[in-house]
Amino acid sequence: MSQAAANKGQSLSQIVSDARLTRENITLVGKSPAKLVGLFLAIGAIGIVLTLVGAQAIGLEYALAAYHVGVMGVLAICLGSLFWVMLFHMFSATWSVTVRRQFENVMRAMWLCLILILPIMILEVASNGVLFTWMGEAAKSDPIYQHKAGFLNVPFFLLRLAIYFTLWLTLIRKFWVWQRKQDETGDRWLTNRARFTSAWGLVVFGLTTAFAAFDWLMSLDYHFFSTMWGVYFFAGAGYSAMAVNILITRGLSAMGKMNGVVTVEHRHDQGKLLFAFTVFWAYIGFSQYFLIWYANVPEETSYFLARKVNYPELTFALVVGHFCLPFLIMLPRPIKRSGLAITIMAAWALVIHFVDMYWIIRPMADAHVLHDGGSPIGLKALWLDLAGIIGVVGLFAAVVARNVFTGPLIPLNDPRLPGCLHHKNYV
Amino acid sequence: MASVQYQTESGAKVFGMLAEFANPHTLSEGAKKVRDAGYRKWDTHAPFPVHEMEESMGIVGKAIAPMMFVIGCAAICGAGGGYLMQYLINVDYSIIVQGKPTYQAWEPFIPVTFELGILFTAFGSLLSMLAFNGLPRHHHPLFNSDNFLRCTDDAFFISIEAADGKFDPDQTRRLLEEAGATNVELVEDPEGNA
Repeated sequence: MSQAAANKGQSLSQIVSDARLTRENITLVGKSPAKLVGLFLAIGAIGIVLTLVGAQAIGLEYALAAYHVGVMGVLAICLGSLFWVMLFHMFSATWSVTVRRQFENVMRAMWLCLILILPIMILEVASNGVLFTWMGEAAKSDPIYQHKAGFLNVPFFLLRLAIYFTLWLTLIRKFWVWQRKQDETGDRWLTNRARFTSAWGLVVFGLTTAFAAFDWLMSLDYHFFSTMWGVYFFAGAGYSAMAVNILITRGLSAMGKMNGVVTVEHRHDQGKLLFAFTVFWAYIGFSQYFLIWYANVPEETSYFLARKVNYPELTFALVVGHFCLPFLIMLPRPIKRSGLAITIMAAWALVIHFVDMYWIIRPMADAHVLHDGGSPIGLKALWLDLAGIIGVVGLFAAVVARNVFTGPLIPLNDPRLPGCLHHKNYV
Repeated sequence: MASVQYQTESGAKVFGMLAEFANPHTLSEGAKKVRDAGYRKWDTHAPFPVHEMEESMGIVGKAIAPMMFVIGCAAICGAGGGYLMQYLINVDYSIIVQGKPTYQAWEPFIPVTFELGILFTAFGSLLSMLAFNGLPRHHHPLFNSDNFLRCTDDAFFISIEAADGKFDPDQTRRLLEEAGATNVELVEDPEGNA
């Protein structure tokens, strides 16, 4: 009987007895998260304060845009983690059992996204639209808005927000409660229930994620529309969630945990999926651009004009940094198996994920300032943008760190755990 | 080619030695012994994939590198050729549709470039797989052993070719028997075209 099972008592012994599953190896018990959480909280607080300063010094539009970038980036990571958890349940994935707990720890931070998004909504509604200009009076006489007003109006907008978060938080709660219960009781049928829930959960996830992306990102420019928008957001979500997962598991390995539990074989698979989502993002991103380029409809092309012409550096950085370089670097097998290389690529993936969100949101602040007769500042106040993003990421990291430090680092009684411990890539 | 050509008493050329094993486990253990003895021209045969066999045979990743190179070249040829084809056609004979730029714009060329890249990669994978495996071929000397036909059913084999520099009828037989073979036989190659 393994030590972990012995410590947990009762009915665990029948599931797994493996020398690698010692209490020291698969829990962080005895280590206090206080230092790390405190550090992240401090970073978050400084960032938020600087954002508030920026709102006074530079302009509300810019501060709000910076904060919006952070919130949307973090929301994508949460949603991506929920997606991976459901996907693994859905396909009864064996290889991912030992890394799945870290996805769960990230998706559990979804409540923070709700808290973070509320100030945006309150501010936007209260001031009749800072970035969401369709909330303002000027839009009321715009025929394009009038056409969309049945969907794009404040009450329905807020109702949708409530629906999305209710569904997401319900799904997350279900999976998490079952996981913890299985840790304690070893009830294998909970895995079956999780699988059943994933089946309809993925459909709900696909619809809500797409519509959330329409609401909170696409409607920043209410003239613009793209049917690929939801998929584009999802591609970034899956990509960044996998990157965060790699960083957490690598961090735990660096602390001497999960020895032989998360091995080079698991890392290889994480790397493959990170690589796959690099390509997927590029495929969707180019397809969206290509169709809009070809159709040449003014409402659509304005989106890319605002970014290609006004932010050529960012556009170039995305093409090279979100696709070309990661594609070429992560193509060889040894890179995906190397701990250092995959850590660097995952960290880079996170950076470029926020650049992607920045590229989507920030040009709209300039456009609205220009529309109101002001002079746009472009990239001149980068400190404010960094403060907004890092502030939100700091708070998010604090919550995730607290989640990681509580409870075991792997699902203790997952029926597929033995297979996962012997996982190997033959190709 | 080996320095020594072995012949049976009847004068037929020897293809190699075929050893039967009882189960995948003993096959894998036997393969490790043959690997450690330093043989190069040998193979294992089983009715189903035996997962740890690459390691037991010591061939992990060895065959894949040259194949990857060929596939990479095919991919670059496909994608580059796909792009160049469209570019040159549009330089030579521009057709302006909807007022779009012709060869000055890269956007419309990407789908064909992408698809040809994929297509050539697929061709490269298939053809290089066949080439590196020495396929297609109509016959193999191992089929001269009636016993060997069971390898698609319930038997596990190691075959060592006589063309291997370390091959020696007595020593190889002893090695295979020590490695746990239940039955070792010499396989002839009447056509002698090995």
